Amino acid sequence: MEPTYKDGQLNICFRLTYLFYEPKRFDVVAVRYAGNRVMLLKRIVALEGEQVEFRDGTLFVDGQLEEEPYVSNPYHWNLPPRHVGKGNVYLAGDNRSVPMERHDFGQTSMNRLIGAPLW
Amino acid sequence: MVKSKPVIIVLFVGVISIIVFCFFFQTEERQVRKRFKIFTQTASKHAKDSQLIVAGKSKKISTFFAQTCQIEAREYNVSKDYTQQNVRTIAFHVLTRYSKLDLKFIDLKIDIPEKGIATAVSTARIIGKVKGTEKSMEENHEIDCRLRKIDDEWVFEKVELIDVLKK
Repeated sequence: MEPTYKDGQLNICFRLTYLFYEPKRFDVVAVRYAGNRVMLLKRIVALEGEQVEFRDGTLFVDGQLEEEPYVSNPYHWNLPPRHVGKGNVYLAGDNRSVPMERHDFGQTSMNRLIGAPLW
Repeated sequence: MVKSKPVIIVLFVGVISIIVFCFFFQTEERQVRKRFKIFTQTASKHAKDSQLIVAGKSKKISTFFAQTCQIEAREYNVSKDYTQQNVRTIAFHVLTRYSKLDLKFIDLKIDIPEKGIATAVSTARIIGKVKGTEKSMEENHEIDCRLRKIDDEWVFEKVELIDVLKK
């Protein structure tokens, strides 16, 4: 999630966030693996039912260009349109300066969203 | 007057049966948990391990797998059946590639759906250093496994790497 969050930085995650609010596009969220101890920090770039794609490093949702001020020096990602399934969100990290193959991103179930960092 | 002795005996036998039943399944779960622990110790590599030790570890790692083990890792396009010999060869290549390797199973959850069969879900964390460059590597993978008890040993019959994020 660099440059927004430094690698190895300590973050405090509010686990009740999504009990009160629905996840919104551009929210930063903690995503769990099996269990609750290992997590990824990612940003929601598209919500369920939307179509997401990357053209030359730029994000498009439902064919509309989305400005991402938190991304600097994006690599030329090209991802064909993907439909975000029911109960899922599409996530990507802010560090897009690496090739697409070396970056963990994609859609996941909202059940895996543990919460959001407090700051 | 109700005869209390037979009732007490029936209750006692019932309680003992439940305890024995629970203990039996807990034992199988414990066996699987211990198997995972030994596997992590075997699969981890220390900087001082010689090629001979690596060869020995590779052989031992293969014994943790069934004669044929189904491995599904769609992210890496390596979904197929692996023989013990395949596992041994891969283990040797991986252990040779790294000067140091540490494997941990975090949040290991084990279920025994039937006698002699176990399912396990966990997050496998691999931390290592590439030989030569000493470049650090850290990977986390959610795994879903099925183990079978064969000749009193639990072996992996199926291992699936779960795609937490699907591109």
